[in-house]
Amino acid sequence: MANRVNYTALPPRESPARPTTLHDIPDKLLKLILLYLTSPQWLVRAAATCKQWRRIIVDANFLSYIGSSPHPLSLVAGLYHNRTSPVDGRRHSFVPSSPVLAVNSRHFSLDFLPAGGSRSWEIVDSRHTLLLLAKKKTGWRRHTLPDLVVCEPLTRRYQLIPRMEEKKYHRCIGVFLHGFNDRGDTSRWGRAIDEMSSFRVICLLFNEHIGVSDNIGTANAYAFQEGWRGKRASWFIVKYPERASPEFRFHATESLHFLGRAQISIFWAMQDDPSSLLTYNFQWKDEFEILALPDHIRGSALWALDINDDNDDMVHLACLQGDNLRIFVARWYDSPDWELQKSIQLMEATRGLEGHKDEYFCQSTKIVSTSTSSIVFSPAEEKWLFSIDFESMEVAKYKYKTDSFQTVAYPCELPWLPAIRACIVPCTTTRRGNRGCSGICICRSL
Amino acid sequence: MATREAGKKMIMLKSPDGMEFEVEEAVAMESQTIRKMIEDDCADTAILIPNINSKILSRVIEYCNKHVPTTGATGAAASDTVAPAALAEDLKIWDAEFIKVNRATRFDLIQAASYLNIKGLLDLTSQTTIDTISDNSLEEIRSFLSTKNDYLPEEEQTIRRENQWAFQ
Repeated sequence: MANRVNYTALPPRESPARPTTLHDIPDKLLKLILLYLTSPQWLVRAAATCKQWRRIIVDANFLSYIGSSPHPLSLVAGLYHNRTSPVDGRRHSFVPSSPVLAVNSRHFSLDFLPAGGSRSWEIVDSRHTLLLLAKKKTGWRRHTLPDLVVCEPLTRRYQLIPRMEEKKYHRCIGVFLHGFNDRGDTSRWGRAIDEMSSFRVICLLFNEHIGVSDNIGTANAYAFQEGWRGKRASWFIVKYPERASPEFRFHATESLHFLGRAQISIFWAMQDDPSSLLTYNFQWKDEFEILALPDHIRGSALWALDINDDNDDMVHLACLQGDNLRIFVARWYDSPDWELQKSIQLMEATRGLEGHKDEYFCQSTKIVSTSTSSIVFSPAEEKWLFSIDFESMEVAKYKYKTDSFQTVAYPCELPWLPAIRACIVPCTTTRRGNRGCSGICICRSL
Repeated sequence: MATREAGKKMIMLKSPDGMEFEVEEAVAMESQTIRKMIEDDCADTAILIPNINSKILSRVIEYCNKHVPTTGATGAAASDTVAPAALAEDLKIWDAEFIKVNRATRFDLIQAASYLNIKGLLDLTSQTTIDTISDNSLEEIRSFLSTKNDYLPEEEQTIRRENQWAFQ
């Protein structure tokens, strides 16, 4: 019996004379396949395979699909630490975070830095693939505005940040790296953004009140940004004093104790006022604020945690009292409501770990370093270290040796999306003039 | 011809080279494209699958048969007693065996999976293709996937130099 075919029959494809290859697959389908690439180095390799693949990978449409896919943590290639007492002369150490990413650690060497090489620089902040480093100073200049450099270790590029001559003797509260782009953002022309051309350095300077005794003053934020509003890269003041929020004053920079940086804000404890925190937010407000701390948080060792969360608005505060670790969370950076999220007794929790001794916990436990996913603790003067994972609150022995007391771990990520600039002749088709394509160059040969 | 056998509705699939495949409706509905045709009531007897030859179509049906939930045509007896985790493990091994095909067949399967909108099969075939990118040098990727290197030597050098980290 004849079958009734009610679907219009398309002419059958002429049977191919040769076997199907990738070139027979239409771009649309190839795009689907390439979306399975989940690691930055695979994306780079795929783009380097042939021009057809590169064309697909640089397409705004492709980038917008793949842009939001990876979990931020999966991109952290490792953590940088400053060393305070270098044994072998190296100032920085790099601890790879996951063997899965399989990028050789030698690519994270900082030996390409200018002016004295890596030894004269100290890491002060990191963001995505970039590091911000400051030149070591001694004596009374220790607290003044340092020379700065921003670099991308993986591509061995750096940019010296010009000095603010008129402010060079001002006391510096902190220097931070910030950007406007999130991971995987594309430019308004749909291209991958080169991190090296889209960062902002924020410098917080102490402004002493003249004629007032006791070193009392306030603070101002200055920002350095590449090509801000079409102008040449330069420093500018972020907040004008007359527009400042309620005036606050504090005693010099020594009275501030840096607690850490969460995604969008920086926190300090103030010697003058143990019941509050000083915070600077650079996402929306660009200003300092004083946060009142609830009674149950006061008086213990505090750390602001930079937890890689999908939700930027959450702020986490670790609070260590004896061997009791509590993690508080506030929905908003300026929220007065700190909710207890997790709590753990460290002595009990680590009992199963190799080398554990109860007496280690007689003295106060210290936080050695914090990262985007875990905290490393040292209960017994660096002899025995363990870490806690934020997500699972699981404890593990910390296997990396530390030469010195490290305080902050600076995460460094692999670039997402890939920035291949394979222009042999400088491209003239970009809107940025003579700077060449940012991201994978598509100005030639399509 | 669409018939009823033991309460199961059968669907006839036709490849453009004239072969006909009779499959259970549930198996055919693993394909979202066919599901839509059936739900839209335009597939009461036979469906012509354009652009997919009988060799590939039979492999696709084989895949759907295995992956149809609960009572597949094959291995149904075991599924009652085996734990879901073990079943998933079994399916994984089966998939790995299934995808051991030559390159050309795999690309045909990708196209078929995409046209018929069978997510599992598209995942499997694409992931297998992508895996060759992750573990091999550029030259090996090109030769495995038989893509042509159309970069100028200087261009390739520049890419390698600027992204050394991705090439070890």
